[in-house]
Amino acid sequence: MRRKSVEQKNPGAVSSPACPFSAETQEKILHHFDHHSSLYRDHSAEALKLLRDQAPVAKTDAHGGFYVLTRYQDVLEAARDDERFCSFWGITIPTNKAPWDRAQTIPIDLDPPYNELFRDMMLPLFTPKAIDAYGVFLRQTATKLVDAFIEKGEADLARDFGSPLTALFTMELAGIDHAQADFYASTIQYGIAHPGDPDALARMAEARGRVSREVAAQKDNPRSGGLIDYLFKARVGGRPLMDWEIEAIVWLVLLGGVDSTQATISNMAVHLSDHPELKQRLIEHPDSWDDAVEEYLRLVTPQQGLSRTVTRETSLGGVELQRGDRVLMSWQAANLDESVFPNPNEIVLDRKNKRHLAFGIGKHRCMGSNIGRLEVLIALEQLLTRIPDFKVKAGEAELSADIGTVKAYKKVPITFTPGKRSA
Amino acid sequence: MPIKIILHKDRCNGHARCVRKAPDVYRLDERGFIGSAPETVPAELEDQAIAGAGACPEEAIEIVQS
Repeated sequence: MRRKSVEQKNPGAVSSPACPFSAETQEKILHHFDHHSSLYRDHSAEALKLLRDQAPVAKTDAHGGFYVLTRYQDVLEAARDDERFCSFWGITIPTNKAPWDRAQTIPIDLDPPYNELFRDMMLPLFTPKAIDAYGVFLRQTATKLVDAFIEKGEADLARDFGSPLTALFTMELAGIDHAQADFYASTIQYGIAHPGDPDALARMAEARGRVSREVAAQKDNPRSGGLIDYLFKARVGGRPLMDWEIEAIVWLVLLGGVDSTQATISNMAVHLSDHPELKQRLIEHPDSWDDAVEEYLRLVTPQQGLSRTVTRETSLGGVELQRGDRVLMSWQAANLDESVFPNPNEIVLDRKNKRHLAFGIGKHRCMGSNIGRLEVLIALEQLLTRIPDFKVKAGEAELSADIGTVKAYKKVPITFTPGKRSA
Repeated sequence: MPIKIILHKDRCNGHARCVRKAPDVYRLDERGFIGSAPETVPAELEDQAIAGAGACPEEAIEIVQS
C-alpha cells in the first residue's frame, strides 16, 4: 500500500522569517522540485532546507518523476544500500543511460559485486604514496599558473587557475597529452552544465569518441605511468580488461577530474573574498588549512547529488517506494543538515564531525577524494600565500546557469596586488 | 586510561583517511585497505588514533576505552 509523502505543514502559510519563499514558490519546491532549475540555482540551500523540514522524501514530477532525499540519515541509508538502491539504471536525473545499455562509466554505473572488482583494481592509483607523487606535479603546475597572471593584478580564477590546474592534472593522471586538457575540460564542463541539450550532447559524444581513439592509439604504445597504461596491464576477476571497459574508466576519470574540483576552488575563492575575517584567520593559521578544505568541501558540495533506482518495494524515511522509482540523494542537502552539522551554512574550522557526504559514501564513494582534497589544499596555499589580498570583482562572479549536477562558476574575476613570479 | 583500537576490516573501502590523520597509528596493506594498528595505543598517540578513527567515512575503526 502506497503512503503519501510527508504532508506539507501549514499549506496556506505565508513565508516565515526563516523561509524566503512565497506560498507559490514553496509549493513548487515541495511538489515540483527540479535541481536543474534557476530556482535551485539561486536558492538551493533554502529550498533544500524547506524540503528537509517538511518533506524529507519528497515526490516531484520533474524529469519524469523522482523522489528527492534531503536528510543526512536518509541519504546515508540509500547510498549504503546498493541492493535496494541500484546504480545500473543510471545515476543522474535525467540520465541518458537506458537499462539495456552497458555501463557508460566504470565503476560508477556498476553495482556490487562488479564495481568492487574494478575499484579494487584501481585502488593502488589512489594510495597515499601515489598521491604524494601527484602533489609534486600539482604544486609545480599551480605555481606556474599563478606565475602567468601574478604580475597583472587581475585574473579569472576559474579560467586561469582552477580549471587548468585540475584539467592538466587529470590529463597527467589519465596518461593523455596535456595539450588536450582544455578541450576535455571545456567540453565536459559545458556538458555537465547543460544536461539534455543537443549541442552539449554532441560535444560530449565527440569527447567520448576521442577517448576511444586515445585508448586505441595507446594500445601498442601506452604512455608510461598513466592510467591507460595501468589499465592495459591490469586484470579484473582474473582477466584483462576489454577496450570498452578501459574507455569507460578513463571517461569517468575525465568526468570526475575536470569539473567538481575546479568548482570547489571557485566556490572557496568566492566565499573567502566575501569573508575577509575568515581569510585573514586562515592566512595567519596555516595549520587550520586541512580543516578549512574539509569544511569547504562540506559547504560547497561541488557534486550536488546523484541518483539511484529502487529495486523492490521498500520504505525509506517512512515513505513507501516501488520498484523502478528513482531517488535523488542530495549530498548538498545532507551536508547542510543542521541536525548533523550545527550552523551548517558557516565554515566552522573546529567542527568535530567531519563525515560529510561531498564524496558520497559506501561502495561508490569517490576514489579521487584524497586527490581532490590535495588539489583544493594546494589551490588554497597559492591563494593565501601569493595573492592574499585577492578580491572578487563586485557582482562579477557568475555561477553556471544549471548547478544541478556540479555547482560550478563560469567565471571568478578577481583583482589583487601584483606580485612576483616564483624563482 | 589506555584506549584500544578495533578494526572492522569488512567495512574498509580504502579511502585512507585514517592514515592521513594518524600516520603513526594506522598502516594500510599493499592493496590500500586498512592493514593494522596497535591493539593498545601508547598515550602519546591517543589523539592521533582518535582523529584517524573519526576520519573514517565507513566507521571501520572503533576506539574503545579499555
